Amino acid sequence: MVAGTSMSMGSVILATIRRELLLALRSPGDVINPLMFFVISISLFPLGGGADTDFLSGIASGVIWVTALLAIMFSMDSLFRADYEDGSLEQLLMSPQPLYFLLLAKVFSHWLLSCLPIIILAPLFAEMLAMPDAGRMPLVLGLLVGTPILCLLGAIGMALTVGLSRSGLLLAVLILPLFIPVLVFGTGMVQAAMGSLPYTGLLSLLGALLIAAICLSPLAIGAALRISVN
Amino acid sequence: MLRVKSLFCERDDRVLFRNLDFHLSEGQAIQVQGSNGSGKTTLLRILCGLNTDYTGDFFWYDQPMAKSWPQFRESVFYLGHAPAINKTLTAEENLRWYCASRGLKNDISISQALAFFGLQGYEEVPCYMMSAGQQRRVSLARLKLTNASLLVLDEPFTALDKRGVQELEAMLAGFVAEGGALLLTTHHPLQLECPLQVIDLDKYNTEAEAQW
Amino acid sequence: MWQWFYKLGSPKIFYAMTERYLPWLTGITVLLLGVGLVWGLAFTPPDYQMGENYRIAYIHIPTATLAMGCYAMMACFSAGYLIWKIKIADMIAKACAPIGATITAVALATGSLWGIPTWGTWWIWDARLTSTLIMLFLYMGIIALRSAFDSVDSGARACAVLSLVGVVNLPIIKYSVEWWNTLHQGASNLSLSDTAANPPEVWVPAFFVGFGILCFFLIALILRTRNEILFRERRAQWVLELLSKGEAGA
Repeated sequence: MVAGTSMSMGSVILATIRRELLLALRSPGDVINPLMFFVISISLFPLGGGADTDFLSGIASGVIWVTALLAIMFSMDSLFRADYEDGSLEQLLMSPQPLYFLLLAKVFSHWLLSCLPIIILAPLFAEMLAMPDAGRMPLVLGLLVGTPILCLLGAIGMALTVGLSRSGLLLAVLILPLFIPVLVFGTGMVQAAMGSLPYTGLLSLLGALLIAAICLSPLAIGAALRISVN
Repeated sequence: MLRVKSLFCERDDRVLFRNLDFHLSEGQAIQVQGSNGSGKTTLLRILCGLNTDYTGDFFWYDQPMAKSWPQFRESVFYLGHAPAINKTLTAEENLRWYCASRGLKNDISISQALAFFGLQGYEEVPCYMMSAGQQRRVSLARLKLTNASLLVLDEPFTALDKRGVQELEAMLAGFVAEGGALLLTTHHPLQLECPLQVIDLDKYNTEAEAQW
Repeated sequence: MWQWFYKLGSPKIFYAMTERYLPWLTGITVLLLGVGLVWGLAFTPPDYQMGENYRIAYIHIPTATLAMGCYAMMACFSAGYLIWKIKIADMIAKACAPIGATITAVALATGSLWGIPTWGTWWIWDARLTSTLIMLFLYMGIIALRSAFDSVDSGARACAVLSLVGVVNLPIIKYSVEWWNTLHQGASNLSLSDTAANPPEVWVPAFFVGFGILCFFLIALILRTRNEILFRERRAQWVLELLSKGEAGA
């Protein structure tokens, strides 16, 4: 056997992110499909509700946020599923490196792949849904701070259900109620800005939630994964 | 190094084993035997901390396991039924991730480890293009990269051809001879060139059946 | 005291002890609910603003309070199960979920019934109604998660983790909904729930009903837990003896 020396935590995190990005590169469907879901669902709202500009600008922030939230929820499946099925998850749980940071790195790469494209596309859709210009900045800022929270919460739900063969829409039942505060604050920011009110207070609330989520949810994800491999 | 004391495990109202005691020290090999469903995999997973449905104690270097998980994880290598190989990644990428996630830095390269298991030239091949036996070999190549002092192998010979089995046996015997500890399950008649202790799990559940 | 709790941790002793206390609890419940409901619904003077309608508060307010309390209780027992692996804690937590969901549904139904005369519509997106609705979703999630697991232990642990995640989120959800509500519409005026502002004839029966419903909740909880104990310990000697005794008596 070979003598090994411990590498620093940072390189483990980088290696994890590298692996996830590589996986996404090899099977781009996992990244593209949630994005397509986001694009198509948003296009359905004017078709279903009418293309009246006033109506659209009224619902624009809500539509973008709710659709982003659903897209993130559907994208969660790719986070642990393959690792669970091929046994990599067991190896991850047995790693001598702190699980907390490994999981955080995994969720971060997931956010990069599934949320960042949505955030980049969001201003475009804000324009298409006739959202006033004032709403664009808080929309993007809100998504930037809010979507990592959604990813962390979604990862808890996914970790709880990954071992179930027939989980189906169970994930939605578990985590959508937990998404509510982020939705409320995120859309609230846009509405406040559209009413010429300051939105920084809400942004810092979202920021506080993000910090809390970063601190606490990897613990819950780890506990849930241990239950799922049991 | 690893001591198990009165381990009891019950699954789906069936006692898999009770009062299981054994001791595994450096330079020793233990083969866990038993019929299908006797709890061999469960026992290995319990010892690795992947299954918590048990009562009893186990100790790592005389410390209760609850306290010594970090040290234990440093020095254990576990190979389960699933190969823990991502099929969309290549052999080399899989192994590189394995080394990185365990913080291993190696004297031998990944391609050397692959070559040892007869996979020269397969470094760049995505694992979905490999046969089950080749995937198993990629998985086993980690044995060459790990610095673990305890190997926990669940059916390591599955899907290997005759020569592969012999090579693995030779390698495991060498590992034990160098002072490593080995805990494995297999249905294949083992020919290890080292002292082998056998635990037959079928002997540990009979008492239970008599009671009910 | 600790000895007592320790003993209750054993399913067998929990079963025996609750057997002793149940008749008393039932008696107290009947008394409290009977007195409170008859007094509150028939004898308390009508409200000068809302007339007779406000009487639904006698059911609505205790159930709405209990809905939240039951979730907190479930989370406490879940934590107890996760940390100390006390089996009975999980059985109680399991019993909490459907009872809590039912109570939440009752609170929602009475709330919207109350809405018809008060607001002119049975549903408005009032902060309290909305957060009660989300409460119901959280209960549903926990019930759904448990039923999705084949293994009792894995399901128990998964539900424990989820209820702890839920209980951390609950204040945030409640706060966000309240904030959202004030942004979209003025806070609804439910000042009648403020018992301090009302004469004793109004709030004394309310306390009777409140404690009555609490006792009723405890009875339901104990009965469900006892069922769960019997199911999980069905192979244990004492359950087999109990069952054979029951058969002999029948």
